[in-house]
Amino acid sequence: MIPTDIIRILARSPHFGGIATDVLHGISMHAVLQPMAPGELIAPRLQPSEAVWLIGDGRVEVRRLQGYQGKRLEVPVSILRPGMLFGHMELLSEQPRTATWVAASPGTLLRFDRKQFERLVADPRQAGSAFRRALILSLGSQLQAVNHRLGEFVRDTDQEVASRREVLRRALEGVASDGQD
Amino acid sequence: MQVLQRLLSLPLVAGVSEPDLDALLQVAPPVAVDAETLLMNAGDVGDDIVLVLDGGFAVELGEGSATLPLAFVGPGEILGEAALFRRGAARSARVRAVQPSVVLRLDAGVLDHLARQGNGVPRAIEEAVMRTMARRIHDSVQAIDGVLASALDTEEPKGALQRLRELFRR
Repeated sequence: MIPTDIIRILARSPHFGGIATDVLHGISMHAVLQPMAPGELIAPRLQPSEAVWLIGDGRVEVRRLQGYQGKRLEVPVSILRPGMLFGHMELLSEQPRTATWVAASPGTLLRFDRKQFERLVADPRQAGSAFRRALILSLGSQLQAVNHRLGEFVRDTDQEVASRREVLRRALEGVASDGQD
Repeated sequence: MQVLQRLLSLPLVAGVSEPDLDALLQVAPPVAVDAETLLMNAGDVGDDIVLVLDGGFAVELGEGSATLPLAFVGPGEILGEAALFRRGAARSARVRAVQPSVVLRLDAGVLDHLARQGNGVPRAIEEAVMRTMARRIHDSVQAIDGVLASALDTEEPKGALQRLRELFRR
């Protein structure tokens, strides 16, 4: 492990940007670098959560199981980019993953294993506080996006269903789809 | 003293010392809220959170016949958490008091002030905010996916909104 590489990745993330280097160093001690190759399964859906990841470079595809006319398939619903966190929602809510994450390009992830993650979350020192605030910023954006989506759904249920149906129809026909969740 | 005892009974701040909770009340005194008061509205700008000590609040999306009740939030729970530490962020849901209530309003300034004094409240609140948001995101995503899957399978979007309401009512 090279802490300076980890600190550089943390500093580039919008969630950790602006945090003093010595505090980032405290956070970096809890993470390891994890290279990824295109198509590599990072974590499958429905499995218990065991880690949180921050994307250093590269892209990660999010896939969800959806159905259409009696068929079930995992459909890409969004792409995660450098600086984004994933896995924290499942660990904090203590729920199994609802999505599958697959590497969409070569890249590097920062991985916080469950034990290290819980240690940081409970840490009363500056590293813990900075880490909690980074997670709160990330979750706040996610919650706002989910509420926005719910609002759209409530305003126009038919349109939402029609648009999702089109994404699924194209996926079933083998047409690449890259819709946003 | 009564408010302090109420705070001490909340699992959210379990493990925080009595002097630390007393210090919280010095910088964030309890506020009474009348029933039917609109505490937050979707689109409002504000980065404070509300800790409910007594009473209850309805969290809702949409208007009129398209209203979707997302949650009932009671004593020991947090409201407005999506905007914490995000200065200038807009509220994403409406929050209405459904009974006379008592709350504490906290913002980043209050939490920073307490953290500088080594007070245990900020850590407890931050952890509760994270877990609350994670649970709400998970529940909402599950609800949307479930309703969409059912509507897509049956080729029948009618009733999807009703199903969504039923899921959030549980």
